[in-house]
Amino acid sequence: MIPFVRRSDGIHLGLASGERSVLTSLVEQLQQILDGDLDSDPVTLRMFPDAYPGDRQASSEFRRYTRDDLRTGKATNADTVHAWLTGGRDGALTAEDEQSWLRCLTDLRLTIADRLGIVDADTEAASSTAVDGVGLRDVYDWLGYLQEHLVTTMTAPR
Amino acid sequence: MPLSFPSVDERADTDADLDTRASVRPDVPWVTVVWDDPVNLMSYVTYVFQTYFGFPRPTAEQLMHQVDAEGRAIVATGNREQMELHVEAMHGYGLQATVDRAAGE
Repeated sequence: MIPFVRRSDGIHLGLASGERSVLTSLVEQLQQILDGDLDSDPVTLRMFPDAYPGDRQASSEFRRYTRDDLRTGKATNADTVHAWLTGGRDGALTAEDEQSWLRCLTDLRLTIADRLGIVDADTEAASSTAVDGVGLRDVYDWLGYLQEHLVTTMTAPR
Repeated sequence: MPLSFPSVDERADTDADLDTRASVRPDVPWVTVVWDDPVNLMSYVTYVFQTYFGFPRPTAEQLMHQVDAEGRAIVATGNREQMELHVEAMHGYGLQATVDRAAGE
C-alpha cells in the first residue's frame, strides 16, 4: 500500500491494517520508553544527545532544562501517531500531525538503530547482513521508507 | 512546548543571525553544529534545514551534503542562548546537534 496519499484536503494515511498493527506496536514500545526511566536506557543518548561534547557539566545542565520539554514533545508526537493508527483520528493530517509523524518516525528509527547497534555507516552495513537482526533491520528500513515517502509527499509540488 | 515549532518572531530573529560556515564572523562566538548520523535520511535533514532555519532548498542541500561528506556542518552562528534554542529544536527533530564556540573553528 502507498503509506501516505495526497488528496485535495491534505495527506491521508494509506497504510494497510497489517502495517498499522506493526507500527502501533512499535509506537507503544516508544511510549513505554518515553514514560520510563530514561537514565537507564541507552537510547536516551540518541534522543537527547549531549549538547556539549566533552563538557559533561554543560551537557548535563542543558539536558536538565531541555529534556522535560523534549520528552513531552516526543510523547505527544507518539500519542498523535498512535491515535491515527488506531482510529482515534481520521481524514487529512493537519500540519501539526505531519510534524508528529515525521518526528515520531525519526524517534522510532533512533530507538531501533540503538537496538541494532547502528552508530555509523560501517555498523549500518553490518546490520543489514547480520542474521540476528534481519527482522528488526527490515522494520528499520521500512520506517525509513515511510519517512522518505512522507517527506516526498509533503514537499512535492502541487 | 509540545511541538517546538519556531514562532514567526523566532524565525525572523533567527534569519538575521543565520550564517553558514564560509562566512562565520569572528565577533560571533557560538555556533550550532549538526553531525552526521547513519539514521537520519538525507531528504529529512534537508527538509529540517529548509523548514526550521528557512534556508532555500539549494543551501539546505549543500549543508546536508556537507554533513554527509565532512561529518558535520555549522548551520547557525549567534549568541549562546540562540544556539541552545536551535540545538534543542534539532533534538526535537531527532538530529544530532551540538553547541560549540566559533573560536574553535
